[in-house]
Amino acid sequence: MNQLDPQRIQSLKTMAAEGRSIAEMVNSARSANGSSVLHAVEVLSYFREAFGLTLAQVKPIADWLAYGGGEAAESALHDLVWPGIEWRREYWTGTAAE
Amino acid sequence: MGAPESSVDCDPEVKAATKTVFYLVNNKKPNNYIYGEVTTGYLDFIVYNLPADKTGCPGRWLFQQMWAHFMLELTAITAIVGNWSGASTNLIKVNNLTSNNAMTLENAATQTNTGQYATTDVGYTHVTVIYPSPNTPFSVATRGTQGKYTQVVVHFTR
Repeated sequence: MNQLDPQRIQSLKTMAAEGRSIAEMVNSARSANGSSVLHAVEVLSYFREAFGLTLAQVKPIADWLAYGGGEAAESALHDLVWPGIEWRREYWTGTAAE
Repeated sequence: MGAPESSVDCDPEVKAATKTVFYLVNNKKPNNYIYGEVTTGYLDFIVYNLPADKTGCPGRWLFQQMWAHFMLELTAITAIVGNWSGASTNLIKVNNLTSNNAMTLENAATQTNTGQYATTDVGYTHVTVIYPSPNTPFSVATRGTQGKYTQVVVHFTR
């Protein structure tokens, strides 16, 4: 798989710190830098790298990208993925003693 | 790698294949791929073939390719993880089957696509539903109630 772009990873962390929605973060990660749209598996890789998440924790993103579903689906996506990111806040803000 | 017989627009390409990771895409259909990884014996994966228009590489065939790879690598697999959310066909099926308490979640899980791959294809017939634990409230687990699940997490074991 392609090497991950550190700027794109940092952008995700910044958006999370700003409290942006998971859907916004996914859309941003997919299309950052005006390059071609990322494949869903690459989007998952960025989230995992940025926030230290497992495949299981980011899998709802793949479902959302595959099936879509409007505002209700966006809200449900956020409810499923955000707790994991919040739980790992010390990891991605660099305040953890790792 | 060759496409399965009688498939239409299935042009499989293995992007990654290690002892713990398998990633295969269909170059002719963007939303048709499988990505799986084994962590401490747990096989977790995502597989799609959308739109469901009878074209592309079938999900079951994709699973079989992944499974064959891990068997060839002698990767130990204790459990196959089912983890369904959103508008996933597996979650919709589980909710349909469990509404009005018509079926247990365990039995419904075996009738999903993933459940069929796990139980029928590779013999992982025992189902354990994973519920939230007080000690790990943010862990990935089953959310919701019969017929109204927003996420279902199950482990299929031998």
